[in-house]
Amino acid sequence: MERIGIFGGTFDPIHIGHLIAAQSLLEIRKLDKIIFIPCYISPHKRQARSSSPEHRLEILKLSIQYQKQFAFSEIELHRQEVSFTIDTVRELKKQYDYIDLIIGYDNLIVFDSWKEPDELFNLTNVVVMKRTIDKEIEYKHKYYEQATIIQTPYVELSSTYIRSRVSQHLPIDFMVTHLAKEYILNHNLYL
Amino acid sequence: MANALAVFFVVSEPIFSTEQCKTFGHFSNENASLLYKTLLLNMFELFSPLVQKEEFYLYLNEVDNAALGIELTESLPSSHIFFAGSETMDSAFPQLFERKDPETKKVFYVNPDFVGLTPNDVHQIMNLLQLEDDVLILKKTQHKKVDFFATNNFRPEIAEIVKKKNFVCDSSLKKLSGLDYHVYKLKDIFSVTHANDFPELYKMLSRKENYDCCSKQIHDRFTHLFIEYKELL
Repeated sequence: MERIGIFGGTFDPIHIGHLIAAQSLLEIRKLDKIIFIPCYISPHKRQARSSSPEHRLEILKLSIQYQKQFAFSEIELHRQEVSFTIDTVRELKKQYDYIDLIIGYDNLIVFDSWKEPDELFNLTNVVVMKRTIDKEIEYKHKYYEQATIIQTPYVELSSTYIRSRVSQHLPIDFMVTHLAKEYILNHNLYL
Repeated sequence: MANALAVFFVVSEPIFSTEQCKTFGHFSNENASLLYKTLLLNMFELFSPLVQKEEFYLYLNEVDNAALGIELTESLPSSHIFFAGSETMDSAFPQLFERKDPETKKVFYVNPDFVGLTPNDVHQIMNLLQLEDDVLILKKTQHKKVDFFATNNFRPEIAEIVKKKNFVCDSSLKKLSGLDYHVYKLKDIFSVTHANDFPELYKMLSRKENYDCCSKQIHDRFTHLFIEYKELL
């Protein structure tokens, strides 16, 4: 049985922090593949200096092309509306029996607000990336006990920071892959 | 001081003055006042177990200055109650946040004309405020207004965006995105500002999943209004 992990996010752009965390989870969870799933963002809700879904996807493809255990899915982009994770999981369950749903520690905090959280636990293993800087939280809902919390390497980097650097014409070497950097600069993104 | 909190309750229209309280539909000024005072009291009750009253700040319309009830003046330090006229409230709003200790970065803003926030929601928000990243948590009403926000790193620029009387969610988000916060939009809240909201408030508070939105004492105060205006339900 193929063991896959699904890793959703805005990925605007995907950076080495995402890639390092994904590689780490691939090894720790003994996964065959991690599928990156860029989410759809309504055009009127896009943040300042954000890029189009096509650009986000292209940067993602370029960033993972040499790691054969990394893949991507356009499932949420194709919906052309904001997706609920449960809908994406149900769709992927048609193809895969074993799914690790990879989420950040902040998402665990709000997990009880997600759509059908119990069903997400029925269909997947919820795997939480906890960084060394993430403090133990004070008030815990029932899903804390059910989730698998994995300590992942912490790279102090965010897509927001990268976009901000690009807008100020500062270098982003080593923050994104070389091909991603070329793409961002060649297409005048985030200016 | 990293864990210190400040909670700002901001009520721009008169609610204590029974003569001048904002009202809607068939509501008398007196009952409208009871409604809005109850909504405010509900928020006090919600935050009291987590935050010292010394960290509460109340910003009111100056019309209410003479009408404040003893229950309020006794429970809050007088130095934490501020007033401004309808004309100056918006422009004076950013200075309000200067009243807190400058070291206090965790700030709640509450425009208490809503229900729908539970103790669990507040716990969830407190957890998010513990994150290392700069976090901004918004809750919008059914009318798309942001009546609640919380942050773990308050910056005056937020007040500049919030001071606009109609703190409308989508347009504010674009402005806030320039401040590089991790923005969390959590479950909507329900504001009571229009005649049509009142029967919806009744339906909402009748649902079992919303029992945690207020205490029995608060619920009884709402019940008084539901009986008074049963023809609206």
